[in-house]
Amino acid sequence: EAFLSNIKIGGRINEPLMMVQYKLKSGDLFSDMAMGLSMLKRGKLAFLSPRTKDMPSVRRIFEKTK
Amino acid sequence: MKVSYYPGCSLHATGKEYDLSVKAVSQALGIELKEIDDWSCCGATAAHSTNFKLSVALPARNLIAAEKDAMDVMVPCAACFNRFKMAEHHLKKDKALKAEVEEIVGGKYQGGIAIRNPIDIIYKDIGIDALEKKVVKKLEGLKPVSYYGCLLLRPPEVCEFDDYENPIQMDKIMAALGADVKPWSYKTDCCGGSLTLGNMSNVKGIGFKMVDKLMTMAREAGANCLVAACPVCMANLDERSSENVRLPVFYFTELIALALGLPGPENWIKMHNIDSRPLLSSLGLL
Repeated sequence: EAFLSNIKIGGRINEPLMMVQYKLKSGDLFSDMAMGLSMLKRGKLAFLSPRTKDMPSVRRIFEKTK
Repeated sequence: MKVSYYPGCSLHATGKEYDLSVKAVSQALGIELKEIDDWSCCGATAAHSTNFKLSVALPARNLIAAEKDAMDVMVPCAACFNRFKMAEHHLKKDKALKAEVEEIVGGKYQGGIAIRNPIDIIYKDIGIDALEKKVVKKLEGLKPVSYYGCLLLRPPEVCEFDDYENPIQMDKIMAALGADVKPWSYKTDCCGGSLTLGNMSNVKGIGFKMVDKLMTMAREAGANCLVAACPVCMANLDERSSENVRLPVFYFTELIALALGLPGPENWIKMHNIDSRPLLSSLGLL
């Protein structure tokens, strides 16, 4: 659900944001930090990926499939 | 040849090397890629395990956009590929669903373009012989096992790709590059990828074990590395291996680029967790 809410925001997954959201929801933010930081160092977490422009169409899909 | 390109969310982030290597290899092999306009997430596991219509509508939005370019679409990510094929399957089978989804997305789905993954495009459209001719640096000494994962091939009537028990296309591609491909029985076993970013007790309890199994079996088969074609498999195998057995993992396109002498591999492998530079340098490949 962290995944789907991510899509509702930007049309695409923002992996770092989603990971944080997920970890917070499951109440366990820190035990995986090592992997997260290592990925960050290697350039794998794209914080500034472009978003889908036509967000209304994406939101509409969520609305109509409830 | 020209195809549309759907990178999907992973290829812009954790699967960056896959995106870069697919693009480099496509260019070298004469495949022109046109990224689909304003694409959105395919929904992957989250959509299909919670809401059927959503799981069809999200890919459908992209398929309808892709049809505007009137070209087949290349989908490197195995999860996206699987979701696109699934959506195509349901839209073609169920007229009522198709009408509903078209109304929701706002466009007509013709079903006229093919959904392809890069292994398939390279194997069928470029061909092994043509690929072999372009090799400038044979990957001698590299002993990969081909790891296809579960999503590219199953369900077989949906994916319409290689043999689902013993696929060979990636193996043949690797062999064409001069690598000593090792046969093994774990080509399509799940790596547990969907557990990778989840609950840590699942990761430690099952995730590590699944990766460990694959790594151990790869070593037993005589391999010194694994080759994958899915960003989640890659992330999982690369990040979640135990101290027990730790073999480097590559995207098959990274190895094609290496064999074709293209610029980039040295940078891409730096993004991996398990360092493959010792192996590659020892073989004179880097």
